[in-house]
Amino acid sequence: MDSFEQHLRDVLPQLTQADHARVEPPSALWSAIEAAIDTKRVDTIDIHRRTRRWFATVGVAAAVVLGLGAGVFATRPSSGPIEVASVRVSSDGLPGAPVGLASVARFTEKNSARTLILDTSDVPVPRGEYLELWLIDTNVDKMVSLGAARPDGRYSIPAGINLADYPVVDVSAEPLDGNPKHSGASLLRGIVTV
Amino acid sequence: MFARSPSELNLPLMESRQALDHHFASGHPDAMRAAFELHGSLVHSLCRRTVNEHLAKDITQEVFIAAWKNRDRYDPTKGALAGWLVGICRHKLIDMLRRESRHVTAEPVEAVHARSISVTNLADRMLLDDALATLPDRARNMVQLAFLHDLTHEQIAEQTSTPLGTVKSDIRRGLERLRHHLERQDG
Repeated sequence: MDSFEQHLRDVLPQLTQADHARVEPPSALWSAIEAAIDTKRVDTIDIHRRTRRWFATVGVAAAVVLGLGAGVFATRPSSGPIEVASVRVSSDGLPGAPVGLASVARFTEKNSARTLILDTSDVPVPRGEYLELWLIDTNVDKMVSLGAARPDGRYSIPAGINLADYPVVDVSAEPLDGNPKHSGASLLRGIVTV
Repeated sequence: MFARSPSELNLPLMESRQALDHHFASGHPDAMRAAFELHGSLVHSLCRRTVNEHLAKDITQEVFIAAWKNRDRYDPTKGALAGWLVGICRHKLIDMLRRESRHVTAEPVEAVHARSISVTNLADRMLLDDALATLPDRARNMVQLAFLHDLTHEQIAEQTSTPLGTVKSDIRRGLERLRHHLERQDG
């Protein structure tokens, strides 16, 4: 028998009716709590802290990043798009994300136009929220939104963004609150590495 | 978005609770209100059974504010929000008893220690009661028959006229839920 089952055997016989009784908190208490915290303000420190912790968890803080974009692949005279990088994204090490989510993000390039292709159709969207795609730098100081998740899974990468500066691919759940910042609730993430 | 009252939250109870726990951890603006609606009476009752009405109100408030501010340290995959809140509450109550004894009552160390232990026991009991309430009636019954009345699975099957396989799976699933609910994350 493990310690939890022992705990159960110890505590169950001690339960009394009084332990079941509940005293509702005074009605004014919620207003006091609400005044003390600002739940409407999305804490941008959150995403920074969480992402740094994620780096520590998955052990890629010192990862070397591919020399993507910025002319490296731009000169090929190919007619179709060329895949320049791909990265596995998953919910591993993301607190609050459903366990076992995974997909592959691919970067393609054609005539200097770069596209991120990522199918998010299997990602469960929390009720009343939507998914948003991001590219984030390894210091988690800068991030670029690629917009809300799209059914075709294709996202243009703005010109002038050097992918080597933003190697983290991130999918977040965003509340419909009009706040353009990252919610801190990431569901998928991966980092482009060699 | 979250339902605004505990009764609405109760419908698919486990699903709602798990979703709430995850949203709380990720800082969803509605999750704090829903957490207070769902767990406010547990936290406040634990306080009321330990300290006076005025202090109980203050500590309940402190518990929810601290839980929200430190939600980064809460991992919903490891344990339920109820356990995290009760853990914070227990710490705050014990801190308060210690402060009080130093500045007001000048109680001997042993007496304060004994009161701390009794707060911990009370927190354990109330959290277990809260956890049992989340189980379906049949599973709760079977867990109690097994762990309170020490019946074997076979005896429970016979007494309740339930197939042995059902008894086993009810108890296994019931234990998993209780374990998750009671998991201590003291931050």
